[in-house]
Amino acid sequence: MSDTLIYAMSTRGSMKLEQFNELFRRVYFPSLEQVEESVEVDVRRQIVRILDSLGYCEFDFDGRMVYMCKPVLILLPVFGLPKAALVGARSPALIKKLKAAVKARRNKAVLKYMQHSGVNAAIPAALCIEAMDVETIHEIAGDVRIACETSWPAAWALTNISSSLNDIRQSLSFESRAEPNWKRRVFSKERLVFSGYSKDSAPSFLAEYKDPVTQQLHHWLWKDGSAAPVGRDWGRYLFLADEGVNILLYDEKLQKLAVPVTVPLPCILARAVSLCTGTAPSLAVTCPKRIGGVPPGHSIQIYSGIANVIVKLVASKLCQKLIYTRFEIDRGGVLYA
Amino acid sequence: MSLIGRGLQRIHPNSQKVVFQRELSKIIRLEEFGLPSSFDETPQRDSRGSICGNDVPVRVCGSVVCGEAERICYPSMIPTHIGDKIIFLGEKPGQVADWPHEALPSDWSPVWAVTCRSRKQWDVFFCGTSEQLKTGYSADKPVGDRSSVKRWKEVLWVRRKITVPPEIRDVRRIWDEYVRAARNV
Repeated sequence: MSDTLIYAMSTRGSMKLEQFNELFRRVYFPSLEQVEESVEVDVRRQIVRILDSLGYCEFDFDGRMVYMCKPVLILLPVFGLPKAALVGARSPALIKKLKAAVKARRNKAVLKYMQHSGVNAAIPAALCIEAMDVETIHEIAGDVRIACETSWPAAWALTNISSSLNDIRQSLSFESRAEPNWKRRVFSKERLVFSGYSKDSAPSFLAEYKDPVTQQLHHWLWKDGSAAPVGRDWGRYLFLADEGVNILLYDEKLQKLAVPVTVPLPCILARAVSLCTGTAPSLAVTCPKRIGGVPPGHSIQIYSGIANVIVKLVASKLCQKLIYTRFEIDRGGVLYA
Repeated sequence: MSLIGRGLQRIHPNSQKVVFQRELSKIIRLEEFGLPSSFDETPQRDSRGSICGNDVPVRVCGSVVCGEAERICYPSMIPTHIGDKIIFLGEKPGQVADWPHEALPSDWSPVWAVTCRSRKQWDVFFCGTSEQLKTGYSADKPVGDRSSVKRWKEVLWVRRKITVPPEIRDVRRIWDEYVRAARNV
């Protein structure tokens, strides 16, 4: 884990996406010649998703800008003593002040470095304050002069306010449209990826078109000859729900949720599940056996500390039936369920 | 240390003298950076995750929900994910549940969750209410059968040397009150 990237980003309130990419490259791949571009892009995409879902910054891809969020202590949905995680911009001076403020209240609070599951050098250390009461957390935030949101756990708040698939479905306007002659890929419900190869016979499908001029990707959900533009993340879940494919795996005992990497949760719900612990999800690969709608050997993200009430609400918002199973991950990172 | 070097140390401990060529040198003064004075530019998102303006009633900025969101109380739950073997203890002697071998208690609320990290190490987590934190241990009559009372005592008193107490001092003080009470049960 390293705070280098987040420290560098925090020096500015906002930056262009190109500047972020350059910063990322300088911090993590100082000798660029040694890294294949595709590897760099894959790593960067993964980091962008995680930084966004942990509430550190906002990526505006349409405006091609990255904005840092203000530093804030947010309540985690945990049992017993209240715990608050630090998210948003940070600097070494802020961390120093935070440590001093906690130390001054050592009878009532402790500062913990939470372990991110998996190894990811670009993710900043997850800092969490555990205290006797929320008043102590407010006092600490006051000393450090940062915001503090403890009226309800951020994960619970985000899950509740997030739109549901039904809201999205109702807002779609299906029209009889001519299919663009741009490069097309179709989402495969068997492989859970966009693929250039598709069976033309399916009446419903989710297609991705690439504008040859702007290189922008457009996603259309097709139903019986009519199509409606849809966001990519919601579109995948809409299509899977229509096809009755369930892909969310949940271990009730360990309170872990597995989501296929190729079907990430929509933005607000991704933040909700990430902020159950304030740590990044770990990566694994499914065993050589199909689990529900998840194909064998598929990459998955595993979120920890997802309480039953939160995961049920997330699943109902996505019209998914949870696949209850027990997770066993071997040393090679293969998940057996 | 050279004169320049000593001067640099006075400017800032991290200052470095960088010699580019034999006669050309440049002093780079390293300073701790501050955060931007305002984060007002950071966009907000609506409930779908699309960037929106301030006119939307419920908005999200990073991890914070702002606007007129209806606050729904988060239900508290018994933590069963913190270990494979957890012993839940209530505030009265005899209130003990060895999970998962025994069902979770329905007629009493656990105050402590004691998890097995290894055969010789147990960890304690507070899982009670804020009221119980304020009042601490209040002596109470044992409940349940004799064996339950014995098990309650065993977790608190007999295993006290292999149990890692809570980290926060005030919480540890309450745990110690329970341990002392268990001694005399």
